[in-house]
Amino acid sequence: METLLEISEDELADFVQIADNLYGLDFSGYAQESLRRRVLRLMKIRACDSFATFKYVLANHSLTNDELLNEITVNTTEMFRDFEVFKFLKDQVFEVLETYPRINIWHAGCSTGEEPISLAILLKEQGLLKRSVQYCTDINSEVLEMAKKGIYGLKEIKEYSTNYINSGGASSLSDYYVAHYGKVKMNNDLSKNMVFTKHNLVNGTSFNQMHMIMCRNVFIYLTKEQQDRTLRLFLDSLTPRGYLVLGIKESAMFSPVLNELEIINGKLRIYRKKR
Amino acid sequence: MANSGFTEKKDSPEHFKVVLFCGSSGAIAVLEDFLLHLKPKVKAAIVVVLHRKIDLQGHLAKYLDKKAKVTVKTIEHGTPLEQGTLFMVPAGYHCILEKDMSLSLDLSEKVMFSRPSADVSLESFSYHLKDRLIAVIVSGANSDGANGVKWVKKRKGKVIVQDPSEAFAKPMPSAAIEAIAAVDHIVPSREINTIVTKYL
Repeated sequence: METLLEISEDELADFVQIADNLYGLDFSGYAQESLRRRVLRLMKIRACDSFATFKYVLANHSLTNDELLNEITVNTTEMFRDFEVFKFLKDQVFEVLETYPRINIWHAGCSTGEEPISLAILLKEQGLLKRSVQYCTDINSEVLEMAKKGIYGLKEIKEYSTNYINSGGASSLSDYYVAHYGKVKMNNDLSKNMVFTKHNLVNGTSFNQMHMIMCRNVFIYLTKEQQDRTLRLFLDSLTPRGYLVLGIKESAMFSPVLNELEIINGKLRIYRKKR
Repeated sequence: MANSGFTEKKDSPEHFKVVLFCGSSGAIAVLEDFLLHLKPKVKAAIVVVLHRKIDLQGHLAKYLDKKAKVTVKTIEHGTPLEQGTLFMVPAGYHCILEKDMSLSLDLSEKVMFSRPSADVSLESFSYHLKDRLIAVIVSGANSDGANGVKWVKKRKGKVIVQDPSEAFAKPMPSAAIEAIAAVDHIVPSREINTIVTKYL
């Protein structure tokens, strides 16, 4: 029977300290329970039978900074995930974005780039892609490299096709990629106006004025305090009346910065800066 | 992090138990049976992990809410546990429990091809709840949950498993029984509620 690995609260705090001191990675704003699970998972992968062994692995730098970051952060994403959100953006938000000569969009925590690609497709179909600049940022440089390449699995793409149609897509998802050897390469024009930059939502600063910020399923990994700080960063980065889109199971409802946001669609977690 | 919901001591999360109801194919009928007999003021929070397709409209929760005498809620990130309420884990997310008894959602890798995974929730809930956790494993076509119940037993919680011989899909309850030497109860669907109630 496999041993049941445990890690105590103190050991988890110890890990956060070591990651900061030896790797320069600040996990103090990360929600405890998911962090505990990620550390347990990494201990298992590295065949550590106790936290003491794992500490030894960490202290000897058997992992690079990027490897540690990759294993601790979660990069799950899909194209057109929660299609209702994309449909709403296309049907109700684009007509506002359209009024700007240049549209700045920030995908905060873009991971491997599926959401920016999804939005680019809808923007293109509405004739807005050429004047949109999509800033795609993540803490993890490895996923950013993948996002830049725009290469995805053919099997996954087939699953996204239905969501694309449900999002109100005007054509067929297959018009936007070339398939080869079980992989697809997204058309270059989609990512022509994308800027990929490493950015940390825990301690990063505002870098431009955005008309819309999409940050879906990042808050679920952050502590309440960190969520508030990151929301503040988003408010500072939005133009007056700019849009903020969170994950559909996330909420800005309990945050003190809520009174600076207007709820556009509560269920889909689409907000707008008041002024 | 304080949860303002827990002002009265008798309602504080240290004073009620949590039932984690886990199932997959064939589990909805068992769940219905279970919640039909739940008293409206049941002294427990019930959390349901079901493998199912994404349900954006929340049809299943609405249906169960009509049937049940307890309140049925779909979990959002940060939802606090409360007694007398049945919480549905949304399809597509793992559900874990924070120390302050709020529920977190997580999009990390599927476990046993599943998200939500019973293994993930069982391990996380038992870590914080210890002997206040009652795990119920019912019909399902894979062995998700088998690893999780090991944790539940190690941390002194109770494990109740639907009798595989009457389950629509046997693998999930069978795997749970095989995983641990001492399952507390192996019972048919209609008796699950009675047994769970005994522990509350």
